[in-house]
Amino acid sequence: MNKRLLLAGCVIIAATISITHIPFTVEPISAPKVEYAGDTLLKRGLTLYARDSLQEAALILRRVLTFYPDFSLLHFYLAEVSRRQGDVQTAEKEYTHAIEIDHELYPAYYELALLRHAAGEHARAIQLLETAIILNPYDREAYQTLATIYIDIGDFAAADKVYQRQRAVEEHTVE
Amino acid sequence: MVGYKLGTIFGTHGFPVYDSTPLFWTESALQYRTARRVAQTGTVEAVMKDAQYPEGLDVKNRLTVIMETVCGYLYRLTPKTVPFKTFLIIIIALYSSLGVIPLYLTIAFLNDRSSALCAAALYAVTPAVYTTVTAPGFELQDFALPLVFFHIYFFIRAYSAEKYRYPYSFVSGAFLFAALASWHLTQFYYLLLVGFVIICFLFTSYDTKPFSIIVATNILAGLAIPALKTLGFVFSLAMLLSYCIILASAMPENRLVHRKTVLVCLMVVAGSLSYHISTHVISEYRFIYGFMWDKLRHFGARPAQPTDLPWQTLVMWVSPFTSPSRTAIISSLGTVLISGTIGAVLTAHRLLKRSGTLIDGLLVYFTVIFATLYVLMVRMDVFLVWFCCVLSARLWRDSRKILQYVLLLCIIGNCIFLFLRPRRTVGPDRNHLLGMLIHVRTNIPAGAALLTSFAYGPSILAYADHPIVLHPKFEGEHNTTKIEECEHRLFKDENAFYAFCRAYSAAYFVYQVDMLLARGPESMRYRTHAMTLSKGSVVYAFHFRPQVLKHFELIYTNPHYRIYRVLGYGAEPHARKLAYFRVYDEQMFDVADFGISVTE
Repeated sequence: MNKRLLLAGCVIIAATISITHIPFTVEPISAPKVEYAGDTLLKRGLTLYARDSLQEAALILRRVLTFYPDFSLLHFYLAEVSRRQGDVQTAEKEYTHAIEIDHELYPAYYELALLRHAAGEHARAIQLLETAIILNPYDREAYQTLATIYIDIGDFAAADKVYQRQRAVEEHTVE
Repeated sequence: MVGYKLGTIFGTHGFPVYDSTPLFWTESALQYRTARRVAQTGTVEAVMKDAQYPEGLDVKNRLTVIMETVCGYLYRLTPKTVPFKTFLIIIIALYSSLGVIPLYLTIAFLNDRSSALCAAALYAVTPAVYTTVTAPGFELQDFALPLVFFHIYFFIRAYSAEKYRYPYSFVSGAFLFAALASWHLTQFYYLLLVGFVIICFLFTSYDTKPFSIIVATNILAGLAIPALKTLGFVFSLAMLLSYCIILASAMPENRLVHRKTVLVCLMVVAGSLSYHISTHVISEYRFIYGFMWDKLRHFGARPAQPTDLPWQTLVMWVSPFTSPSRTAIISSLGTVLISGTIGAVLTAHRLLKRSGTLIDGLLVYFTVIFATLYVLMVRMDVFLVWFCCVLSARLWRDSRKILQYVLLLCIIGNCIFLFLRPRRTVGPDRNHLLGMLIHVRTNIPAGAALLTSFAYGPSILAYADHPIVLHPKFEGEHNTTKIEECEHRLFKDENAFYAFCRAYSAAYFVYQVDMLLARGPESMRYRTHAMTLSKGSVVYAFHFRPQVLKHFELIYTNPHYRIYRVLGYGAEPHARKLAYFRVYDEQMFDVADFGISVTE
């Protein structure tokens, strides 16, 4: 027992001293570059998207999801691809997911509003556009779309107010 | 315990299965990066140039890298069936749970196996035990604590046994040796142990021989471990006091020389010497002692006016060195507070009746000390829980049946606490951090050094492989001076900050919105005493007016971060059209609400 305890103590001390000395090198080491496959795929996916190769882009971007499951911009781009492919359901799901992750992502609010408007859900579309305008008061397209929706539903006074708000912001910016 | 840890981390929605970015945060990220280096190359650079650019971080002589080395080597030895970060999480979940073994052994030795099982069960269901690992973290304390607890177990054996007391104290010293080499804060624990020995020496007939063996192993650690050697551990207050105890005990007792008086005199000398060393020779001790003194002076509560405290104290006065809130105490300790208090009272009662042992005194001493320290520093919870659990075992052995029921109820109560508590993730919002890191990886040339706040540096280093100017290891030589200078210059004019960037060859600067907008007690503005600012400060321009900057060019922006390129002398910044975010829109703010004077 006596010897075993002494041996155990010696082993712990020797191991600690070894570990604190062994790994060090004075030479600069060149560690293998860490490959971020997610980045490469994301870049490729976005390039394909820019080239309108939507099906391939969707496939690649879906693979990126396994690397960055909670990256709001990725969900936004996936939604964009789906929207352009005509897959409204997936687009809506992805826009919503992007907004859940990043509450300030105003392009997602805007695009989602367009989809809701197309589906005849004007009240929801108006709500989303109002949020988009709060988040980016200089988003000309958001004002235009909002005014158009009001015109579509026959609320011309509200449309006029939207135009006035837009003008006020633009004049303020010019100043 | 392991299952809960792994389940909590892997079961989280959004856990990046195939990518580690940015799983670990601040110090954990730096340690993860070192461990990854060991796993990849089998070596660590003695001076890590990219971790504290451009002079480099003297890892060998300043840091303790046992945890990283062990994990890295283990990964090299095992078949590569899982990614490194997953391996790391599994290993640290397994290893950090070992603290329950010395707990069981201690109680089984002092009491019996059934009470040891109950206490171990209580320990296993106490939420505080899981805080760092499930963050997820890769913290030095999770590696060192099982070693400290094994040291305590053998220390108890050494002072309880008639036979083998010296071999036991040697093993105890060996575990403390390993713990000291693994975590700088172990020195702090040792200082408390020395405090206990001094009390025993002064008030009981204490045998210092087993303690002397521990001191001997500590001296060996101070001489053989480079980081401890650099810190002058053998001349630290704890070690100086240890020498005093040994010297006093070696004095021949007679009418002229009274050992206890000698010890008190020697302690005064040691205290003065330690004060001299910490103020004139090794500044690192001044840093931590100054912080502790300021905390005590203010009873653990931050003053309303930050100007009452120096930057050095305020930069340390952040989580986990803050005091816990009442909610945090309940949610992290839970019912262990009840059982631990009852156990401490029962043991103290025995001591007062003079039927208690030295070990009873040790357990009560540590419980009281760590309870007090926990009120000052939340990090002390891991020690407090361990000692409370050891004392809780007394409830099981008590003749009163009701106390056994209380212990059982405490176990059930903590079990409920553990499974109902909300999951806590340490670090900033991952979405925007990831966006910034992806931009750095894909758009910034390799080798370009980035200046960030010290907490964010390791994320850039670990997940974008770019050199960083600042990091959170205050042990790094000149690092704290650099951090202090950087943080102060951020609230001065552009030229002052630009000079800092140029002096340290920073090619890019990562701005965070909280540099300007946050004014809370953990903010940069609070600790630099910049609670009121003028619009002429560079931080204001970084946030609201990038177009007025002459030496910095905005290249990336998201709602939390902006990346600026540091321009060469005479280079003109290019105005880029970047995405709009209202957080950077001056017109959206009443800047006076943020302590910014409206005059330029």
